[in-house]
Amino acid sequence: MKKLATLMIIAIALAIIGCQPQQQQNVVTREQLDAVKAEISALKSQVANLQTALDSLTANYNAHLDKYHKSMPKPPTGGGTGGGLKPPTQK
Amino acid sequence: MKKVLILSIFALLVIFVGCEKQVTLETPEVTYTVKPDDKGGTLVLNWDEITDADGYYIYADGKKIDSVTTTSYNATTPAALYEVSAYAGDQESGKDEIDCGAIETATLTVYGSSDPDTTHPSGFGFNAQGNAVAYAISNQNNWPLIDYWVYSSGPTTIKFVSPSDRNPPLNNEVNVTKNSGQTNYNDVKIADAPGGYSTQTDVVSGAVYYFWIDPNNDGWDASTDHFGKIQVVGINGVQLTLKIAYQKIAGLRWCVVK
Repeated sequence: MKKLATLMIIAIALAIIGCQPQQQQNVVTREQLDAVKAEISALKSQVANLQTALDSLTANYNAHLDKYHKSMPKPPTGGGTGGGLKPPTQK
Repeated sequence: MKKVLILSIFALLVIFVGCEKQVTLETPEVTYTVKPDDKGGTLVLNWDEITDADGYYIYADGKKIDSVTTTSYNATTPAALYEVSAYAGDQESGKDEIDCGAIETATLTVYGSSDPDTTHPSGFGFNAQGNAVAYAISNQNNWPLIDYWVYSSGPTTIKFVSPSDRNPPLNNEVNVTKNSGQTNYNDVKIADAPGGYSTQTDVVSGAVYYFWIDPNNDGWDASTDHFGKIQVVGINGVQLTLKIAYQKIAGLRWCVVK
């Protein structure tokens, strides 16, 4: 009798556990996915525009350097009169 | 009759001796070239033949060192002054001279690049007269005039550096130096031929250095290259006191000071 009661309790416990509703998973809806895709697309477009602007600025800067500062050496940096050393050569 | 004959012969002798032509020798006009064979170790003197001359005397620093019958002389003994005269018998013409003395800058003060005062000069170059002039690096207008830069990272590390070896470079000249191994300034009469010179040379107090200015970095030539010597008279911290002799004849390695 005791054995039967124990088996019954176990069966009920298993039934209760097994009947528990499945935990809700994180599900991305199609609408959310489409929104993210659209955002990424917009960002890509902005990066491309920035790249174009940067290329233009670089070209202008180089043209300015060539025109006005081609023969001008760079100013010294650091303490004292500055300047590092290149590897020595012999002749 | 005999007496008359003797007197006549005697008179004729007197006339011949008295009428011997007095030779007037012109002074040779001497030009020079620097011999390329030994890369500036020899000064070749040339002049036109002088009428009636038996030969020519060669003087170095006032001392007669040779006599030749040719109209050219290879001067291999470094000197500050060479002279040539013509001679006939015991007569001698005036002397023409070639001034080949190095131009001396008795004292030049420069500072290593680590000196905190940026108005202190840490570069030097040579003006048209051959005098050494110190230049501050902080003024970029000086950069093209600099033949040597004095690098330092402290009182124990000081170097003569080619302006091209600075990063960023002061100019594109590849000028080099070499420790002569001597400490007696006057004993250094000729700089070494190319070979073993470096764009960066450690500075040692008392040492005498050869320098070779080769602005085009095209090896030895007698058009743009100049040689000379530098003595480091003293070092005080990163302050250097230099004594410099600059040979103004392009390509000639002699550095004897008048």
